[in-house]
Amino acid sequence: MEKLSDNEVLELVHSDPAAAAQNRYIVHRVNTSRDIGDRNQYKAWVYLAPALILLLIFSFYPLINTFRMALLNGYTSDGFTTAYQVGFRNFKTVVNFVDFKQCLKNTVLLCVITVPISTTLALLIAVALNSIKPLQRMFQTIFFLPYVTNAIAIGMVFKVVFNRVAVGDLVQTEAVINRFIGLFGADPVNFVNVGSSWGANMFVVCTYIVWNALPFKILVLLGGLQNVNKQYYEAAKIDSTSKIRTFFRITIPLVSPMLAYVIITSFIGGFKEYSSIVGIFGETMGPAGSEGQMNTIVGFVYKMLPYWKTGVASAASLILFGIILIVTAINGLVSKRTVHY
Amino acid sequence: MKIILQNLTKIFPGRNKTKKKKGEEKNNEFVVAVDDFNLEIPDGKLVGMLGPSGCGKSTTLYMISGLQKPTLGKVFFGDSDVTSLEPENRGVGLVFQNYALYPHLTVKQNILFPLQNFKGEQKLTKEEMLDRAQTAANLVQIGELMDRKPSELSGGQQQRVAIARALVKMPRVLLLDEPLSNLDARLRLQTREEIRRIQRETGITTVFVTHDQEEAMSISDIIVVMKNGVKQQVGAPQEVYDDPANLFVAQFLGTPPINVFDGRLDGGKLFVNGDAVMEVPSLAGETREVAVGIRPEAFVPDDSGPMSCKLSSLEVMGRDCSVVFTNDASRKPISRAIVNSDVPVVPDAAGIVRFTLKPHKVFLFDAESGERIRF
Repeated sequence: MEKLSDNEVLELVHSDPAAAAQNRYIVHRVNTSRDIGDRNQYKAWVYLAPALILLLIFSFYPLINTFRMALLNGYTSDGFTTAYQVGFRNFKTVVNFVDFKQCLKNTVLLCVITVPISTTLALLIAVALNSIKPLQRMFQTIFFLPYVTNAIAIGMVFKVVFNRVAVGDLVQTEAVINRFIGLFGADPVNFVNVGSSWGANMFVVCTYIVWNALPFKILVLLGGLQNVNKQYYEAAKIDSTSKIRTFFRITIPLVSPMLAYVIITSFIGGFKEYSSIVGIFGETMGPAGSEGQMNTIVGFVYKMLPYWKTGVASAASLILFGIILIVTAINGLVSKRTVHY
Repeated sequence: MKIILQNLTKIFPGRNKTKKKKGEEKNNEFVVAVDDFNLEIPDGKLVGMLGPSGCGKSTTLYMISGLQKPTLGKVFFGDSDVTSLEPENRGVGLVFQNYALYPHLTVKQNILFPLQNFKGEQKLTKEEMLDRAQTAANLVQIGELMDRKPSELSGGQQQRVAIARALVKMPRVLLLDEPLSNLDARLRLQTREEIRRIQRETGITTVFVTHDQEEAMSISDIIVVMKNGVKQQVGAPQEVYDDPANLFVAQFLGTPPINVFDGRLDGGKLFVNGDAVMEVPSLAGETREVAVGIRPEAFVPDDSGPMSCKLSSLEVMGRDCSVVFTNDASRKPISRAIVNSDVPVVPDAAGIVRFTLKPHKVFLFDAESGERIRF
């Protein structure tokens, strides 16, 4: 029997199955994944349906509708008014809003200031927590408390802590912080009350955000640290590596995936900052007399909603979406180079 | 560098987290990992610490490195007491069982890492560092792999990198913790020769830990056999094999393992299963139960020999022949003798084979304590 090539065998099987069988060429129909797919694909869709339907209703539809709304004016969900196309005019409106520029500036500054500070602090605290044995659990709980408390409530507490009511030299209320800095002979600062400066407000909000962001970051970084094989540290110790060098050359690279995660999520969270400012200043987003001084982009979006300016609000949120997308992409690129998975 | 361990003891606090059951003895309080360990390791020798898992050999190694502090006792390097010295000041190189190579650094960066820690007068220029790293890498034959990450290396290559990293700073003492346990059988053979070669070339006093007696015997100058934290015997491998201090050492060394029988000394004769297998004139006055350890190579087939056993099977392995037999006095279901295949082993009609024994391959031990009874 002469030897046939695979193709010849296939041809023979198709043209003359009997002859092929006689020559002991029997081609078993192999269940390729495609065959299985053909038969079972509908099943897969059935199984996926509940999740897909929910996603369609609650995620994809709102997202796509936001894009649509950004191009409309007079849109309301109840159809009370007639919406009409305005093209990209809403985006123009947003960008030209004086308020929006203030919001953008506040948001970007909050991110740029708080993310590095809170991440560094969280890393240091996590390393410290990881290196102590007694009371570690207790400290972990203490550091985690802010995470389970309500942002608005804590914001109000912050307002109290930074409070100062004074008419000229006649001080009526002087809160803890001002009393504290008074101990060092410094002049009291009007942090959050009428007539307080933008810088003072910013300081309070940043303090709040850093404080509020710490627990989650500590938790993630501590988890990362506890996963690092202790032998790396023992090896470093044997090689007389200084503590600082161990930290920068071993600890940081080995927790870099967690660091990257923490930084990306906190940038995203930072750009969506809103509730902390409401907590401290109320819905006016600023101290009395200079309302909106501390407003953010999300605050801007909320502010537009009651005036049937859903188009403008949508446009603003899409701009925010774009900014977050770009920042996250940059974060991703940077971490690709520096993170050691 | 000579190493002296003096009364070294390590006690770990017990894990008393689980609640004690009523009436249970309070014996879980402490774990004595290493118990009053004394040893002098001469300069430039390769020492194998050998014992079953949990015998305290790794703990001893870590106490030499300084990563663990002894509960009692002292460690000397040369004449200086290093007991209270932190590991970073001891100048030791340590190869971990899992190598502990920094995963984010390349091979070159890993080997350079210890050199970059040098301070003050020791500080090297970049060229010197690269030079020394390359020399160390060449010594372990990984000179071509300098730009790879540890994850891109095989187990054997990683192991060499770990050795290079330990050697590059010219340690006074090189410590290896089960260095071959992660390697496959062939690589293990090759690598242990390599360790021997590197140790010879550098002349650094080296201590390595293993539970594989063959590994320890094949490359060590001195082996230390440990059990339950207590040193059992120290000596050159052949010496320990030929003259074990107790039953544990005799059983731990040698493949196939020594055969142990319940025997009896009576009137200067040694009885195993009723057979007077050997004359022991020097112990003529004693009548007692003993444990008899007989090395597989001690058996000489002899149709009129005193020791009779029931043959189970014959395994011919070319030069040698392995005789598997049973004996009612044996402590194991089967026993094994290695005999020269030139001498035919022919059982009689009842399947009985007879042996004479080489006296110097037969050891007597106390039946209870396992201590050696010399004759």
